[in-house]
Amino acid sequence: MTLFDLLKKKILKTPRKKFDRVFWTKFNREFEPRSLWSPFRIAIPATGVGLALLVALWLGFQKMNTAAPTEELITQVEILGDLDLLAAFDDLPLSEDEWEELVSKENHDG
Amino acid sequence: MERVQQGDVAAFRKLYDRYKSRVMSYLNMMVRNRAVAEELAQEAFLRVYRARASYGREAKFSTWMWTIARNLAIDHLRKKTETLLDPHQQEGSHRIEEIESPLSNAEVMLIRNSRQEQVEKCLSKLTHAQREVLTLRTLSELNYDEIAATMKTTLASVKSLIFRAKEALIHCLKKSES
Repeated sequence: MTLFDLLKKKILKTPRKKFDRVFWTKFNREFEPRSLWSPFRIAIPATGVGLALLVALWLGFQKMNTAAPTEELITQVEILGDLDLLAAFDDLPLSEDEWEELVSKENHDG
Repeated sequence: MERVQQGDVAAFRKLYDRYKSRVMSYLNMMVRNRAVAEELAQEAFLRVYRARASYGREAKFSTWMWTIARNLAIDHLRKKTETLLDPHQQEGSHRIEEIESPLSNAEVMLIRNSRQEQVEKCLSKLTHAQREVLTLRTLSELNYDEIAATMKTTLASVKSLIFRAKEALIHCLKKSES
């Protein structure tokens, strides 16, 4: 019997019970193959995107439904009315003299 | 090892089961702290799997694995700023037969009857290099050339260290018995 045979019996130790559990937990954490399409990997970002879209839509509707100030609306209606009037004048076959007379009347009235 | 290189976890589990006690015991003798030895042993096996692709066929798997375990122990001891004895310092001319010669009956009885703690205490009194080479020879099943390669030293140095370790251990056990 050699020194090494005797010594082996004295120094060889079995790892404690938790050794295997701890090792394989570390191993799986590092090397376990993860499916690219696993439900959780898709569900979490998809939920986030869905929520963001809902919030954006809701905010958009809110903005559209909010009434503009009354004064602003009146001004807009007047401008549109003037544009209609000008468009109507454009269609009239007026000579230069008639046109000047109409404008001078308009200025005089208004 | 070829199967492990291809990512076969079942094959790796077999290697792990085969070597875990010996690697942990070796690291325990090196760092003299069981909890640290277990942690380092786990890291050694993780490194083996992590580096499986880089394992070269020119080296024996066991030599490669013991080198990884040894490097971890050395890194740990360096962090603890323990001075490591350079194994190259102890050159000598001992023949293998001289080192492997059977022990006398008295020596066999001495070691066999010594308590585990006493053996460990005597081993801890050896120089770092003596303790390491003796532990590697006992636990690794590597031959002297492979131990020299693992320890990055010469064959003569390994033989000398083992011879002196053997003498010092028996002397210590005799002393503690008396």
